[in-house]
Amino acid sequence: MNLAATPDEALAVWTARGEIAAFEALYERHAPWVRSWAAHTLGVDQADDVLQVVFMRVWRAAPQFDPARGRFTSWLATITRNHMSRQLGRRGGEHRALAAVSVEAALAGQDEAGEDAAVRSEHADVLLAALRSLPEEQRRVIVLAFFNGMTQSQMAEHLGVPLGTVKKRVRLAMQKLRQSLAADGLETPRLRMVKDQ
Amino acid sequence: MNHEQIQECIEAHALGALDEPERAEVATHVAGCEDCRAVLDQYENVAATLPAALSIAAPVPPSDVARRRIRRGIRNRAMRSRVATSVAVAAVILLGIAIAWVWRSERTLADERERSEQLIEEQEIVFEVVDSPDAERVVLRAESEDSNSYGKVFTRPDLPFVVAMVGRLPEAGEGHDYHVWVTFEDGTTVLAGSLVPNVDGFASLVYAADSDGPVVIGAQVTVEPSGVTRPEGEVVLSSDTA
Repeated sequence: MNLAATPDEALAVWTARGEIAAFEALYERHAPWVRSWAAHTLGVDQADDVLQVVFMRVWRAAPQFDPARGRFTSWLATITRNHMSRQLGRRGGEHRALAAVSVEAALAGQDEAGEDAAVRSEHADVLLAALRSLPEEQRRVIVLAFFNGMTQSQMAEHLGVPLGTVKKRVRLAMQKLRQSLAADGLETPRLRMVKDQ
Repeated sequence: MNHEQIQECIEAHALGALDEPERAEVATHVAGCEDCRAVLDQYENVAATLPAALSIAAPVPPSDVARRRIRRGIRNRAMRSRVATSVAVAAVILLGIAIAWVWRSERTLADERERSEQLIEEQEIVFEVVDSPDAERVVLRAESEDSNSYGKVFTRPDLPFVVAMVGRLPEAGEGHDYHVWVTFEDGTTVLAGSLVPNVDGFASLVYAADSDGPVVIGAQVTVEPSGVTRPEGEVVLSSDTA
């Protein structure tokens, strides 16, 4: 069995059955971005702790993952985001703001994209280009919401703008990002796997 | 919120940016609306790709620390799971053995108690019949001149019991029993029971007749193959009148 070519969702189902090889394939595929996210928001020294917590959670909770309800990447991103939000919440508003600056700077930078082959994907390349082409205020709400775990009302307060403005920025930014993937034919159809496949 | 208002919140929902109770309302609607679910899937795809975009924008040097810790954690969990399974299996086996032992002990105890109660009851009857001044007795003598076995059969006018007692009987032999045959005044002969001599050759039995004061006119003790119903074996003891 070539695990490298196996879809995430199938690997997650096998992981739920206790197959360590499937779990390690998922780790190989996704640990780099989880670690990068952790390093940019909590610091490099915390990145391995976050990786450990998140992937041990994946190992334990794999039986609860349902491919019919969404992609594995979304599920893993939610687990990571929840953990990261709790950690950021404990550190207070100042750290949260600094973390947002770090992520925003990385996403806005015009440098040549890195050579992180493990996470290199057409989706990510296209999305990064789209993020870099967004107006700064739209990119900022994406960072604050997704990477820093803020709600729209929290962002309005943090940025000092009306709630309606934040909502509009979120919608516009997400629509542009989605369109960028769709333009390259990279939108992923909804998965309809059943658990026992 | 109606369908159109929900659709305006889908982007924020995919980012996890909705405040409560909006978030719960959108989640409930999406769960039952195929159109909204399909749109949300596309936005969730965008959100799930954001960390990979960050990772290629600003890669972080890889580390093997977490991988080693996770492997150790999984191995430990697997080992704990195996140990827990083994302990559970052992516990089930031990419990089964304990239940079987208790059940068997209780059964043995119940059997012992029943035998003991039966013996006490028999001893009381033997005492009541043999010790009565009104007791009638029939003497049993050995058929063989080489034998010193002897016995007596007792009855009492006011009780329905026949008590047989014998002494110095040798072992009946493998597959054989001593049977006591009693003949009443109406000419009927019945098998009163089997005798199992103790180490001194003593044995007794109690037979309950149909009515009080049974009149015994003769008795025999025979050695028979186990299970016979007629007095066909060797006569060991017999009454003078039998």
